[in-house]
Amino acid sequence: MSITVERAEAPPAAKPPAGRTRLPRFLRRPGGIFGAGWLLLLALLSATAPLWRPYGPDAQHLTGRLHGPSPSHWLGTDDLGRDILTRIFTASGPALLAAALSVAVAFAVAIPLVLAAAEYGHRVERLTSRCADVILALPATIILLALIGAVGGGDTYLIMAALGVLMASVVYRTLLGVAQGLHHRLYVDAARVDGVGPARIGIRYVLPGMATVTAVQASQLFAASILIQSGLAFMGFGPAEPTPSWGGMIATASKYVYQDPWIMVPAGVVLALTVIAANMLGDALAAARHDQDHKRRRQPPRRATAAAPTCPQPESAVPGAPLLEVTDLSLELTGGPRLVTGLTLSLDAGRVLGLVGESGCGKTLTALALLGLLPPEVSSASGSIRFEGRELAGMGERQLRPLRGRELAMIPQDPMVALDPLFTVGFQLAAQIRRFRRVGRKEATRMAIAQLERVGIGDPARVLRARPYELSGGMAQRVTIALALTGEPRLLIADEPTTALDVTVQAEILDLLRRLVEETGVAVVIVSHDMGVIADICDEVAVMYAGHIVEQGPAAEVLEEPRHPYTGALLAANPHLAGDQAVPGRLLTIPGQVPAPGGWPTGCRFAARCRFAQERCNTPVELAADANGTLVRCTRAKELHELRTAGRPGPG
Amino acid sequence: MTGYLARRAFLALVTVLVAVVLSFLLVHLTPGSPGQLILGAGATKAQVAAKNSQIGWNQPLLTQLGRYLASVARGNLGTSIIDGHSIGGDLLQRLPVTGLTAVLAAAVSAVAGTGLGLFAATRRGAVDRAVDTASGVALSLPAFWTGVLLVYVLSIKAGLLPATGYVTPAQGLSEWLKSITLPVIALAIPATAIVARTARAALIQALREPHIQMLRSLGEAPWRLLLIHALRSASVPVVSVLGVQFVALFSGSVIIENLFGLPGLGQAASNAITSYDFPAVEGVVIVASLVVVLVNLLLDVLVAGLDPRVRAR
Repeated sequence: MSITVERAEAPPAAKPPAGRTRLPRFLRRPGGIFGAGWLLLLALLSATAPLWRPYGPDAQHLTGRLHGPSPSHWLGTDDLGRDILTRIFTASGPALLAAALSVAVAFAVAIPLVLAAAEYGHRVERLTSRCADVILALPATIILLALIGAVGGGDTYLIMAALGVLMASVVYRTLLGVAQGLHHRLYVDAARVDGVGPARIGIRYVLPGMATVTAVQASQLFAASILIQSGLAFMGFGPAEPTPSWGGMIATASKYVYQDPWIMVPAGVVLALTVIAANMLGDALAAARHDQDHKRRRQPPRRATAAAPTCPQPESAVPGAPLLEVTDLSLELTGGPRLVTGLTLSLDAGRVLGLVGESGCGKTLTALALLGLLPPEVSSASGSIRFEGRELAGMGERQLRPLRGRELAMIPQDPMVALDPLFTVGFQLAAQIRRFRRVGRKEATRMAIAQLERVGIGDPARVLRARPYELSGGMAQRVTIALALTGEPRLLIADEPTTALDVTVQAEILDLLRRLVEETGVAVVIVSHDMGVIADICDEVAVMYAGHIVEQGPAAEVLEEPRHPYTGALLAANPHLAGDQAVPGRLLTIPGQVPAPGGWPTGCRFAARCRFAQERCNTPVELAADANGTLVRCTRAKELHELRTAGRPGPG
Repeated sequence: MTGYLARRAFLALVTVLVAVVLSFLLVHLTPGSPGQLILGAGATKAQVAAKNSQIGWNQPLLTQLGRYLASVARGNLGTSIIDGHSIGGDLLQRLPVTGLTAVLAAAVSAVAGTGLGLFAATRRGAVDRAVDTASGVALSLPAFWTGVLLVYVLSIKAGLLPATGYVTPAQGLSEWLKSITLPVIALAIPATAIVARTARAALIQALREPHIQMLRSLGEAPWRLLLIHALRSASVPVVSVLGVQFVALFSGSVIIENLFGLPGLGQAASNAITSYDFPAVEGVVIVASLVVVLVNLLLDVLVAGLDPRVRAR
């Protein structure tokens, strides 16, 4: 049996099945059209065979044995002079029915077990799953041989029904994951609270959710069943002569391969086409489901070379230039809307810059763009990224790679998945040390220990031996920081480095970063949605909203006296402000959502959610310097600031 | 580690036990008796009864099952009711033919499939689509038919390899290899396609993992990302698929043996079934199940070696 359970992992993103009309999405793929088309044609030809077949299936023609195709026998004749076309389509009906029977039996056995296992939880599930595992491990074809030994090979339907019972284990394994996923959905829980019984939950909510997976699996099992059935017939355990079967016809062909090689073609091609059709139909169904899950998939990877200035850039550092200088950077979805527009930043060594904003405003993409690690579907549309005077935007992978690790490095968002779980911490750290420092194995281990001590790990020897999943989140983040520091980079890009960590650990990691900045003079770009993190560590802040910067300047200024209403709203929504700030009586929320890329208004992008918005906010607004040295993108900035300072009670 | 392997080993043992009981019950619960089948319609009732009691058929089913299990546990598969030869000894001689063909086909498909998967996953685009379409067709090709085609093309037309006839490895290693090359190719075609698809999907997924992104940000060489990190995580699903495929390959080997004149388990099964030699049928099922289950146990050990998280379970 060549059935794999691998396609089972992802439960479908099923909506509550409310009489939704299902468009046959799979029919838009060539494989789906071919698969469904061939199976339909075959079924039609088989059903009508008695009406059109030119000869009786057993009609022998002993003078015309082993003749190739001719006008009277389109596909030739076999060893007894019987018409091959007639025999193929006489055999096809029972073959298709028997395969369908085994599929039906497989589902009839498996589905009640799946529903029971998903509904009644662990105890039932363990028993049924163990049984399924045992049956799954049995060689099905060989077990069928034992059955044939007992009842003979003549009764194809009985044998294929038995195959269905064995294949039920495959169905069970695949559908169980899906059913369990569906069982944990909120609307199923809601139905249960409403007093809907287990059987009805199974029929109304779980079964429809399994429909697509079932269709995929049915196609695959149908193919496997046809293969096994023909294989057994090929061995001589199919329907008894003179009843035709595809496997039997191929067996005959193998005997006459010297005299008449042609006769292996028709039956073999029809058999192969049928199996291919069923498998391709399954693939198309699975792919259609995949498309449904990821509604908008993007184009294949293409490296961003849009803004590539081809002239050679100065390779050495330009004296006096800032360490990092980003000018007018724009990022876009390839062939889609802009995601980040007109971003300008600059950062000196030993300084920490915070990029802050709600999710979906382009912070992380900006950070990845600095490293040249944008996802394949995103590219930089224009602008420049200069690092020590060298232009990074438009650099190829080959030019960027030597810079990564040595000049720029990344601290990841979730340290628990940023280390390879299959290798020890020691292996991963030592590999980078050996690459960057060109030292031997022993020396690398010694340096790894020193490196871990430097990032505040108490027992480095134990951590070196550990696998990443054996570490706590904070410990893992210290390890990734140690990794990032290995090549002594001059710029660290930290994408939400504390978001995945506990609050107490967050503070420790920020302390560590601050200490490293002081000791090594490394510059840091830190991306966060948390104003507390920004207040804690940053020298400068850039507040991003809907793909561009709305306020930018020294951290003290921006946090103390925000000039943009969005910055103010973010600060008011922050549960833990710096110690000396009074916590407002009630945390504020910002109504509405960040507009999606492509849906940005031409005027102020925040206007729709801004409580100070006026008519004039609908005209485009640029970043403008404010009196206190910050840049603000708000038409009413000055006016609002005056209002705010005027309304504030005077000192004393 | 020991917990995981102990569980897998226990499952393997149970599986073999189920195979033994299942084959016994299938053979014994059928209408008619071996005496009748062997002696044919012309035999008298007394003759049939005498034959049945000679075989031990007239004893209670559970007694027969108990006795059978006890003798199988001792490694004794009984003797043929046709000519009295030792079934265990016969199958032991035949096992290497079927087993090595299946193992070789599995090895070929593991190497070729992983290579194709790597190729498709790293090239993407047109190469990827070509590999995907080709494997979509290849995984559906029945080995017993491609076998016939291969005989026609490679033996009859090109004269490169012998069509039939088996040479034992002891008689000559290269001759043996030649004698099983055609069946190995026929079997390996669909298995390679399936391994290639699995490897491609697993590699593409592995290359998207955050830890690969982290290594990329450190400037790690692409070949190390691919061959050390991505390939190792992709090898876990590949090995699992190989386990499933080995069952298919072993069964496929049984099916196509007659085509290539290989004296393996398939021939023994055919002979036993056509001559109603029920202890031999049971023997084939037991030996095949044992091999398939043991190979899968071996692959479980391999998975545990590749993925430490499995060991920790």
